[in-house]
Amino acid sequence: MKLKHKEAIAGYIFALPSLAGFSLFFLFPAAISLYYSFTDGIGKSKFVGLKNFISLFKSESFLLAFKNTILFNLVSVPLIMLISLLLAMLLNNKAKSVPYFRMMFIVPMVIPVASVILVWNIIFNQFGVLNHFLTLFNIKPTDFLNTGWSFPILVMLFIWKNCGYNMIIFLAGLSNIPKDYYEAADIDGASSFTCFTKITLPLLTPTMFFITIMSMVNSFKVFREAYLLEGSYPDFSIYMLQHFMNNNFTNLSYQRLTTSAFVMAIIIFILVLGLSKVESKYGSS
Amino acid sequence: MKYKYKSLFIFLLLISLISISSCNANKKVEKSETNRKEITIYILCSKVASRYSFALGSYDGVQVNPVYFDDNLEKLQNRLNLELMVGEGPDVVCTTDDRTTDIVKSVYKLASSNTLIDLNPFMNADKKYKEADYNKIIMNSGIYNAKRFFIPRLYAVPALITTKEKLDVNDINISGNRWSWEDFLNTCKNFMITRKDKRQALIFDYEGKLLIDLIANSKTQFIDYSSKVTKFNTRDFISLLKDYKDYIYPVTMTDTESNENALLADDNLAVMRNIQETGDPLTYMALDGYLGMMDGNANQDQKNSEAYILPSYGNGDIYGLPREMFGITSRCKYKQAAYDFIQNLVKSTNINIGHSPIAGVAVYKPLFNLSLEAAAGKVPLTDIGMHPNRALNGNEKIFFGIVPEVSDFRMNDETVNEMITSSVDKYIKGSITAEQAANEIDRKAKLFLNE
Amino acid sequence: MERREGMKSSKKNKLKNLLKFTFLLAVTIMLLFPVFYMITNSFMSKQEAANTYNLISSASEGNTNKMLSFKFIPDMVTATQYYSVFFKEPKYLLMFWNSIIITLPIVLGQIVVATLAAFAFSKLRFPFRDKIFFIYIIVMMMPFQVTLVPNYIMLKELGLLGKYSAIILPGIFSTFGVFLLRQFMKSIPEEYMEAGKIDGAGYFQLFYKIVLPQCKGAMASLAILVFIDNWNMVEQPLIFLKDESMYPLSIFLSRINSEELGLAFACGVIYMLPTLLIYLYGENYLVEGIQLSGIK
Repeated sequence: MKLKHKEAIAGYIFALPSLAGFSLFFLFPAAISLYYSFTDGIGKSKFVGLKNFISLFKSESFLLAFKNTILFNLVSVPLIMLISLLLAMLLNNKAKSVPYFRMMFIVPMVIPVASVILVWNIIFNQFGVLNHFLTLFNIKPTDFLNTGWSFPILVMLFIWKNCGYNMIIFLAGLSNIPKDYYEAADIDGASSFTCFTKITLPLLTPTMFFITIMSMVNSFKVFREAYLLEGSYPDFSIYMLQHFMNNNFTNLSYQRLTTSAFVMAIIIFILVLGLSKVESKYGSS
Repeated sequence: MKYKYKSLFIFLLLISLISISSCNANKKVEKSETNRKEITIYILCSKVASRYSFALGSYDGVQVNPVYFDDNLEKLQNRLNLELMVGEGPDVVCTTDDRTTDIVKSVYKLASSNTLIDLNPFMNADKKYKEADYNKIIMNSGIYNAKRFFIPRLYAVPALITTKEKLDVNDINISGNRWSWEDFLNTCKNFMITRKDKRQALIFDYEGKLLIDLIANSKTQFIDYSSKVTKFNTRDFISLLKDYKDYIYPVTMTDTESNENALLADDNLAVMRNIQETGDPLTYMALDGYLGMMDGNANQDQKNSEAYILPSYGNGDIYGLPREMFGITSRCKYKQAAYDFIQNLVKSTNINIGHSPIAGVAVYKPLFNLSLEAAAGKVPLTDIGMHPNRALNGNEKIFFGIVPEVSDFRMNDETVNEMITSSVDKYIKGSITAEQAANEIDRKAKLFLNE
Repeated sequence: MERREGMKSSKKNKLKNLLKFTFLLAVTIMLLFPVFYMITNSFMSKQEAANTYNLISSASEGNTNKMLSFKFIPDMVTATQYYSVFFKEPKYLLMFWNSIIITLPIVLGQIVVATLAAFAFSKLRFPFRDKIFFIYIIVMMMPFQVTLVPNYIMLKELGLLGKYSAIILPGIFSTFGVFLLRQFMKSIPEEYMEAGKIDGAGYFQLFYKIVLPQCKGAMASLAILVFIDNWNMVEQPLIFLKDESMYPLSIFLSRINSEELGLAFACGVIYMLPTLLIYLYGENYLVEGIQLSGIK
């Protein structure tokens, strides 16, 4: 008991700076703003119960944004995990060219957003390069950025930008798997596929948990590119929760903002709960 | 077991100590009660140019504190938005300033955001308030969901301004004081063919607002904010867009185009380019402006100006655009004093201050009548607050002379305007059809209204 | 027999490697394309930049049949843009330094705070540990607009508005670092800790001498990622800083219009350099991590 006691105190002391700062700058503000989703106005704080939530779910804009956000995550997160895992495994050796490749992959994250947007615009604009290419084949040019094509374009942009990010993390995770395991499996005559599924994947589970969550966070951040490419009110297919929230923010509808954030928090809660259950199941080797 | 609770207790204690100490760090000593009630208002122009200078200062135990932004619109908007959301900011909000500048981007969103208070109780309790003294229709523009959030001080009616000579030189005839829509289109068509100089434009579109005004001025109300209905995706609107692109737009020139330099090599645009080079403002005939708004455009011959009400698509009636709507924020401590302040502004006989341009026609009827008399020369101009050395020029005489009765009001929303102009721009360039443009606008407006 | 088999497998290996290499090369080209474009275009003169890209900004009129195409090599290679940035208009350099002032403390602070906390969350047992961590994750995933208003009020009360600390402090305590390092530290086998405890090490020594050295790769990753994240931060400085002279470079780059395209390219290249440098510096640790994985 005494030892446990000591460990607990040590635990709290180590975590203290983080806990203090977190509570002050994140937890309390989040709690306060969630409280606002049950009130009628910032200055007034009249408790109105679920009225805000009911009107939120009646709003077509919210429902559309909700649907699009989920769709976007369902498509892009598995896709990017696949691609970045593949790349990390390809680069997880000691060939001479590998460090150079590794550095190249970080570059998309480093470029200022404006340049990225410019190049993307040049390609997909009404008068852009892709349309130019299509006219050579007598196909009529389309304004890709304002039609349903903007969804795959945004997914591409997301993957392009973030696969470097995930790759670094996968690399760090892969580097943590002791080589002995592979050697032992080799001696036992296991194929590379079994190596992958029985050694690599399970040992990567904490990393994969991390990357899934970070990919979701990054898919919220892709709003910045979407906003610069297509404005506050883009094509229906990419109008996401972030657009909804940002527009409400600039239009002073703070109630809507916090209410939708509360809904989002609940969904994230369920998601993270599910993910961590999966992690604890597979993570303990 | 025991250590668990002990640890929890220590943890909570630490967290609360930290947060309490940080709260304590800011325990401001409340300022001692001032004897004066203080009201803050944000003003876009500089101190010198502010048209409310007559009302600022202190009187009757009320101190009005203006905050000037020296024409820095973005700074004012950012600060206003942020502070309103945080529960701070000015006590009194004015939606427009400096004639045509919209300080508040979306009047509708501001009204529905619960940051302003309902003014109806104040008006009901105000013994001096007489409903008949105010232009009822324009006053209705401040009501959303049965609550009154704004009191407008002025309103304007879109118009076209020119001189009789220019019309005669170009063989243009306007029957009465307004074109019918068909006549207007015909004139545009003919003008394109018969104009003596290819460099001429029929209408000089000041600040590019012609399209928005035509849409707002039409018989059908294409967007209704209170009922959240949009009608952009209708044949009506599409045919208006087509009329605009085919007939009206080709004979219009915007102020940016007249200033364009040789960047564009396309020959068709040589027309616009040369205007600047010749430097002769009367080379082209231009009509523009707002009734109730004096436009300082040097290209107008001010003495002999005539004004014609903007044609209405569908030949509707005359619609007024409210200007300078005042509201009181919920953080205001002295709401009654703020209400009195607003009423003072609205009822004061200063329609125009010093040399600044007139921004609209008064909602308050006694002042409205006084302006008419001043325009007719029956009372001195200083009675309506104009500088003694200033004379009413032709435009202003016309404005006050034929200000009509409005049959309805139309609200302007900057966000929706941006949606309209961006889609119509693409339509005019030819990248999308009119149907697609209308579809886009409707879709975006729906998103906006439902957020 | 064996030799032939050896030769066959080495040929197979070579083919495999060649395929891998070409694939990686193709991917790299796709990823690097905008960077390359930005670098070459930064050597354009202002006029040329405006001319080439005027179709995007809707300044042009009428139906042109012109289409855009990629312009890799400027017609006239000039370094005028760089000249403007460095000498004519020093405000861009000022913005660059502002970015550094904001980002560097955040990176250093976060490393310190996060390693301590991650050690606690992964290796030490204390009550409610996992539940607190859960809350960490959820709050981290919220977009910043949600916490913005209470944050603003709180920072105002603390008197920090308009100062750099308004951005630096929340950045230091962002839970991303704790999250990353905790996942990583979890995969460090318990045996190390046991061995250390048997040797009689205190908790801090366990942390400093055993766990920390193993995390160098992860710490390097953290530094890189935190740097990138905060280097690109746009919204928070806009709202919490009042003085325009305190704005970081990221804000300028998110607001360029067609007038300043050439300048923006040059600024963009300068903007990229610190991150690349940090990556190069931290890369050593990443590699070390990979090499050490064989040694127990």
